[in-house]
Amino acid sequence: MKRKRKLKVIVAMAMALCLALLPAISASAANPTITMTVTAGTVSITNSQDTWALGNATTSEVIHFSATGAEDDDYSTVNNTGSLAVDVQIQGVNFEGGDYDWTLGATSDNQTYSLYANSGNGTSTYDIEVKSSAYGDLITNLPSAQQWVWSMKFTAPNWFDPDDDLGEKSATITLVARETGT
Amino acid sequence: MAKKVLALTLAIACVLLMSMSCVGDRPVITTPAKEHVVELPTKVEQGVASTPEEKPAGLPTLEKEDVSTPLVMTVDDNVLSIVIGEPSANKTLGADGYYHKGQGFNLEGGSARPMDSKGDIVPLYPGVSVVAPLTIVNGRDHARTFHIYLIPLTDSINPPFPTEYYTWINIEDAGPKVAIGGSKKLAVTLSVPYDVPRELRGNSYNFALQVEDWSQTGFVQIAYQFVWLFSFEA
Repeated sequence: MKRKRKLKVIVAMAMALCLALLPAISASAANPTITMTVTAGTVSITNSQDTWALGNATTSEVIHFSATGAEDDDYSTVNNTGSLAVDVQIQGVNFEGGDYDWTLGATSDNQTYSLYANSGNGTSTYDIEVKSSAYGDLITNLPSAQQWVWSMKFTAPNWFDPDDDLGEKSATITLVARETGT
Repeated sequence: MAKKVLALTLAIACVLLMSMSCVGDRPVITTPAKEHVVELPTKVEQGVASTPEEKPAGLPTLEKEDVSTPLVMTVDDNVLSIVIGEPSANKTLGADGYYHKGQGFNLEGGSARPMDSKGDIVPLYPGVSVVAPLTIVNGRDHARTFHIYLIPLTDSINPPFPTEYYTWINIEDAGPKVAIGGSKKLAVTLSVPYDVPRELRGNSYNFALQVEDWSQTGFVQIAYQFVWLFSFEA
């Protein structure tokens, strides 16, 4: 009788042990919990100039991003107003309007204009092609609270289509900022 | 008799242990991936995702005065007036770091990475669903309706996530309207299905959420990218 009771106790203990171990074994074998960790800080920039008075233009004429159209390599200033260092890229679009658009291209051509930015901080070499199909690197690793001066050079198409209805054309460029190192 | 009962109990316990161990090998399902298959407002052109809706043009204007050749555009008769955008606004920052007046918007956080409880970057496994918030902070000039879309970065530290799998990604609200000085936190979810294609396994990827404000009127406009960096289990 005593032996039976003893065995019952052992059985009960074994079952209890199994039940206690099951959750732990299950958890240890599971995949880890994953959380997406977001970088702390802000991404924020401003640009000092958002207008451009192009002035007079003829075919193939070069006009600079400045108050007068003359070359001013430091005309515009990007200010990193966020807390994270950023890379800034630039993208353009076609001039649209009228009967025919002006395509943004690598060089001035028939109904095609070009737009180049300088590499910034006083350089007079305008070697950053502004494309409509891709972003170009304008500024790399601009620390928080730092500024970067830059400018652009517009070259008008070398031929204007006489069939164009002289309608208004419009375009924009976009500065896209993202956290450096991503 | 008692020995038999004990042996039977232990056998049952062992079977249970083995079965639970097998269950544990399976990924934890937080949300079935197929429940997150949504139509995102994206289209793919030349490898770059963009919104199908046309972006409103800014104010740069070019009017040609005459169709004769060579065409000379002048401002003398006020026919040609190439003025792009509105006069530059005050760029003063407020004390709290946000724009004080008339100054667009910004993002809180620049990128998201999958990490475990120890803070180590970990690969995503089949069946997992991960979420990261995208927080947009509006300026104090006017309410804005933002446009958010997915874009593969070709120059990131990780290669671009193939756009054919963008249906795994859900943006809680791709066109949020944010009040003056307000902010909006949106959940962005990547739900990995169980049948992850072999070509993705063991590889690292990126995608970005581009955040734009189409009410900007200047020639030079601002946009931001919130970058996701992740990899899949081999």
